[in-house]
Amino acid sequence: MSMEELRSGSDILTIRGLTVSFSGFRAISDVDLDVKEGEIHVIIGPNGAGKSTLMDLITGKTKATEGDILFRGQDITGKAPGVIASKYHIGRKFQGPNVFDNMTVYENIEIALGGFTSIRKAFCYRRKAEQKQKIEEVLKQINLYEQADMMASELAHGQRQWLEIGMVIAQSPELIILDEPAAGMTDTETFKTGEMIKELAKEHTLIVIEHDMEFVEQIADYVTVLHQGRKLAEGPFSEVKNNRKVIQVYLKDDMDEEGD
Amino acid sequence: MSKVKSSLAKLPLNRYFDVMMLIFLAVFPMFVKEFRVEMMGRYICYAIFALSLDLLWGYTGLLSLGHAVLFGIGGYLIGISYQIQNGVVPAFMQREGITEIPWFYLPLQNPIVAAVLGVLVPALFAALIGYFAFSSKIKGVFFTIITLALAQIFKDFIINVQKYTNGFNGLQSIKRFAINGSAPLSKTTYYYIILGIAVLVFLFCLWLTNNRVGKVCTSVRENEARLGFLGYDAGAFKILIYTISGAIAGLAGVLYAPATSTITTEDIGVTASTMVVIWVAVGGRGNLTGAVFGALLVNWAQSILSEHFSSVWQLIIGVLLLAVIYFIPNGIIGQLVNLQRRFITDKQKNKLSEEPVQAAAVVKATPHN
Repeated sequence: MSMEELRSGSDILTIRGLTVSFSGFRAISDVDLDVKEGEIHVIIGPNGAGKSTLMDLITGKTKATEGDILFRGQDITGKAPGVIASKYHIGRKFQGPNVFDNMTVYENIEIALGGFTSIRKAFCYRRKAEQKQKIEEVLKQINLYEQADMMASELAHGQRQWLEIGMVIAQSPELIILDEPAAGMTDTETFKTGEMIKELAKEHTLIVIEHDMEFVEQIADYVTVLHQGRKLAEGPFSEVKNNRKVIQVYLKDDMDEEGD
Repeated sequence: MSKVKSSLAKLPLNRYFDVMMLIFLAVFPMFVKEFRVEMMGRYICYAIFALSLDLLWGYTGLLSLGHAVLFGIGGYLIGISYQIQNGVVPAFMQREGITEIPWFYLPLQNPIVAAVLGVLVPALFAALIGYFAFSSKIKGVFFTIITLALAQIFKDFIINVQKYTNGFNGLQSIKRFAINGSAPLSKTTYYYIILGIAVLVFLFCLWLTNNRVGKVCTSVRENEARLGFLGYDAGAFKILIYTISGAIAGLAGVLYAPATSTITTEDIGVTASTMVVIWVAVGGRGNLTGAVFGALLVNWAQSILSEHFSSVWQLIIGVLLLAVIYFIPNGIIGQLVNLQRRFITDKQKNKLSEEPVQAAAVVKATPHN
């Protein structure tokens, strides 16, 4: 509780009593979560803990059975994904690269640019200096400037992950959700991704789902641990990593994996 | 430096092909008999029709197996106009005991009004179907099945309301836009009008597909779910592109009926809808050139083969079609574009990996100078 008080600033996202059940199975059960403005909030937990489901609920992909999700005090529970993305500026990178394969890297970023999503605005969109600058900026941020004219399908796996992070940045979101951004990356790529995320945190608030503990340590300001759809623990990484319950869950999980 | 390179690289091969096709079509009437000109005019109408399907299928990934419905509405509206000129009740209506032109046909007496309606009605019809299909999240193959059913229903409908449409027999003696009793346009003049409109439609499609709206449609094809999380309402864009496609298909029908002077139920059903899919598949989807080239090529092949091998030509077409789909699934033009693309990418990759080497070479070379 003492650590809780140390976190300053107001909530960008407040979740209270969030519950979702799929034909009786409670994937998320009575979860409370506070994400503060400007922090990198990492959510960890063993497989099936409900991390991605929680993100589905925030971004409107799944509808909650009970509970509230507030974005800066405004209720966004049950709103459509498009509305949450364009009106509340919450951007999401999915688990595994999820990009437009047969379009160039440049086009991928351009389509993601925020503020031109209605039909009328899309018709009137022209690639002016301002947009060019923004796209090039994003391309540099994600190390894909040289690859701008390549098809997304021609990129390596790690680069595709970055491309999707770039698409999220191009949306100019205020809250960025990254679902396992470093999955399937080499150690060097993972480290680069971590630095990329830290750079992003200067201007955005981030929620990151991650498995890799070294990576979590590199980026996390605050960590929430989920287990079987419930919140198990929360706090700074140094504190959470020594939490007895967390160790138990993770050790058990590791042992299970070795057992496989 | 890299910008010059990239803009050069972006100039696709098929745009040169477009210009060559246009030049060929422009000089074509000077070298052939008039009935060939008439034929080619008809095929250019088919090319416009194919463009409308390419927007929907090639760019947005929505395969319609009922696109001839929209083409047919356009053709029938202009066709009816020439049945009721000067207030004469056509014979097929008289046979059914109709003595006055039905009120809903009255505006069609003016061919220009009929032509405009021939574009607007299919567009509205597509918008309506699109609204029901896409706002209820009907996706992929289900949309295709709905359009297939639509084609069959529409054909049956036209046959059933025989007293208004002349049923099976279709509509004949549709004039090449004879207005207010003037003589119909000559076959060659009409050919150039069709060609001119085709060029405009092509340029419009080119503009649209390079516009952000077109890119959003391409993104629908690539990954519709992702688009939603970028803040787009994919359904709205799908309705829009279907509507635009409907207008162009209708326009193709409006131009087509006077070019052949007839429109029948053969031009509107499942078979006709399948043919346009074949043209686009053979030419190549999603680059406009392929749709036009495919429509012209397949139709010429059909007519020439049927002239020389009247008994087996359908078999030859079938084998050719299978060969194209098996060996070059991207279609003829699609294959060319891909080859060019691969060539450029390889070159770029080489450049990317060569640059440091070159830099090192320069450093080494400097002391000697």
